[in-house]
Amino acid sequence: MHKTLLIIVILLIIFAILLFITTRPKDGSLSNQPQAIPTTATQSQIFAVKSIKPPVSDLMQITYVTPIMITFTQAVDPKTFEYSIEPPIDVPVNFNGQNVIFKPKAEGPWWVIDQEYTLTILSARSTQGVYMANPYKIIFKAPLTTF
Amino acid sequence: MDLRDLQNLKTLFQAIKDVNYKPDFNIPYSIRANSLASLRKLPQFQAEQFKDDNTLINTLIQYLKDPRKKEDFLAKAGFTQKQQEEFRVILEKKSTGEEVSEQPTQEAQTSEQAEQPPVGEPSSTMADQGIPNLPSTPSIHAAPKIVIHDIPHTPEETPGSKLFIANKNMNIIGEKVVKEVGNKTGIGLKKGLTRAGTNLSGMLGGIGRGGGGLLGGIAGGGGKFLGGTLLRGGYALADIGTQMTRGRGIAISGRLLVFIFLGLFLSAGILTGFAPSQTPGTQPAPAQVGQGQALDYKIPFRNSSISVSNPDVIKNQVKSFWPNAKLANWDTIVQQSINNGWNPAFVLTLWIEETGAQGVPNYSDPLGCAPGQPTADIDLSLKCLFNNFSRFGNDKFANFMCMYSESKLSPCSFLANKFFPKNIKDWYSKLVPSGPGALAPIATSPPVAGGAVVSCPLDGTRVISCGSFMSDNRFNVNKCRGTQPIERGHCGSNYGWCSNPHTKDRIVLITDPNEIPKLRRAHSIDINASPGEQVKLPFINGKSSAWFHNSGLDFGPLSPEEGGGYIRVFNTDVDGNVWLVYFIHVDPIVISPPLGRGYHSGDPVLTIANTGFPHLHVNIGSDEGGRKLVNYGENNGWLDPESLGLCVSE
Repeated sequence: MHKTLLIIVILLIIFAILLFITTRPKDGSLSNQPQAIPTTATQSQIFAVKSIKPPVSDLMQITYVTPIMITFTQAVDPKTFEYSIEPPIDVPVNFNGQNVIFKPKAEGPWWVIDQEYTLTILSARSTQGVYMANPYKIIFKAPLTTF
Repeated sequence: MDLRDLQNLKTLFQAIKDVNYKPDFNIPYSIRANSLASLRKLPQFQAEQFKDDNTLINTLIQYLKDPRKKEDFLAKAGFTQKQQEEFRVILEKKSTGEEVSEQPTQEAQTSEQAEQPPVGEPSSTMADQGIPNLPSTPSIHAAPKIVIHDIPHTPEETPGSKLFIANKNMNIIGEKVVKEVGNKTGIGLKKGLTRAGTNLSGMLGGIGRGGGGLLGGIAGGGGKFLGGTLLRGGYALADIGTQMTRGRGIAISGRLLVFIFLGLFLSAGILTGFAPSQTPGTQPAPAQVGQGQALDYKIPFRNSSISVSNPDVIKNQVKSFWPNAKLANWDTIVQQSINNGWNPAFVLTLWIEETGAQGVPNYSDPLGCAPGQPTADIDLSLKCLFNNFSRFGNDKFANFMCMYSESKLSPCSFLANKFFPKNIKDWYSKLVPSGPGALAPIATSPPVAGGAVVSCPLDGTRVISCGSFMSDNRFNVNKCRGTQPIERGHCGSNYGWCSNPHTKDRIVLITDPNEIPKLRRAHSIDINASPGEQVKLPFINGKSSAWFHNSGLDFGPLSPEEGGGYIRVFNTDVDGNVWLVYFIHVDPIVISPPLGRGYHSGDPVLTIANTGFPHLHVNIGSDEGGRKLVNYGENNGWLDPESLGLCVSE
């Protein structure tokens, strides 16, 4: 009885090892997910835009009150953050760690309907002292939508 | 294509099948990403155009929903014959919802019926009815879910309950009578979608439903040991690995050991994961539909300095309800809660609410944190709570409650667990009746019935004559009704003119159902009204807020074919979140706010236009919960108003 059990366990372990060998990822990573955040010492020094919300594909169809959140790879130092919006509009900017949020006030001014805006981040520095390498630009619009 | 890919595809196909081959299937983001990555490995999806998720999904759906295309697709995908057959089983089996939805008598479901509370069914009895004791693994499946909470304050027996079967969109599509016997047991399918990425079940890509899949099979059967240990996540495996290597002196790396266990686990999955799916009775219990409850209070649930004022009295009460309650765990809960920055009285409340302090038979998880991963170990249950919900601070109590109960952020109406807020409130008030840490009512209450998230802009009891796309027939009359969900509501087969963002046509009749869920117009209700009636700005989340009218979006008049009248748009901020409301078929004049101030919730702003069919059409959207507030596209912030309780009468 014990021998049988032992054989089964050994077979299962052999199977598992084979499975391990055959499914071992070539790049050494278990995850299918792309590495979104730099992990090496050199990469960790990169300070850049990591993501935008709404995503770029939706930026031409936001609503007139939709906030735009830009997430950086590191926390942003608000004092060093320079940007421009064309045409100019008085929309508050909020800083929250890695996130910079351009959010129209509830009472306005709001994104003007059908007006195409260009938001350019001219320069920014992370709280770790790393500067953004290049200006970053996004274009967005709040189109008139009825039906 | 490796095992992981196959499992990913199986999960994806199941999710698509569950929503009747529509692109708005619901699976956690990480699983979705992995599934689409696996899909792109198939020869049919190598073209550049399939880098776009929407194109990829829509094309897949076209393949899957057409029987001939499906066969061609499976044959050309490079699957083995066995794998093809396994995919066929997934795609061809009838779900519970589909079966009952075809019965015309189900369409005449009344709201009164829907409000029967299917609560407190003991697991054993439900199993006898074909509902699983141990539902499939949470977090990895798109199936509609139900969490039936124990109702400690109503321990008396009830003769029977109707369990209403609903699809993902909370549309009632059937019912099941469940007899009530003996003690009540908390049964849950799911708590916390976001846990998907953190546990092994998420890593494996999610398998199947209701015991039909790998994890479900283990959770649902004799594999409770594995379910209770391995499914807790990689850390458990690593711990085991460390102990074994240390104790035996075997020179095997922890990672390899993890893979050995993983291999054993997968080998079980190979045997069970592609097995034919279970009968409808063993699929996950669908969500119940009924009038939910609003959260009208808040608790400092992360304040670890709160103590229970009268523990002995509470223990006696618990013991009187549940003689088998494991009160020995009381001190463990208190101590660990304090150590982890949680309010011990609140965690005790959860423990009592969910499982009668582990006093009910056959509970799945002491705190109800992961009912799909059964355990009786209070330490594991506490760890689940602390690991997965600690991101919610005291100011996010509503988000915690919604996530814990409904797997989504606030706002929610607790439609699936309508007694959860009340039970928590009742028990917490006993544990902390007054003083610091006592439950605090939310200041302003909306003048709405039934705990709606958004109050009705029209006074009195109302009839929704046309609901959102695929809404239940209780929200649809005349041509908005339909035998099949896809026929119903705005943008259904018979009603609604919808804009098409792709063709840029201003008004076109949408004929491709795959487009419909992406459209704002599909998330609409028509409320019967009389010409001249006042339209009032709503309360949201029980709060009065300042509203603003954007005249830049004034539009009209609409043609008679479009329903006539004008469009007016208002916005507000509630708790830092943006809300937008479209009122359509109204008179052009916007009523000024009271002198000396701007608009507040409850203020009249418009009147109903005198059209051929006088009614108020409402669209509402929000970026709350991280939704995208954009005009079109999947996963945007436009919400089904009736799901928010807007003008839904009792």
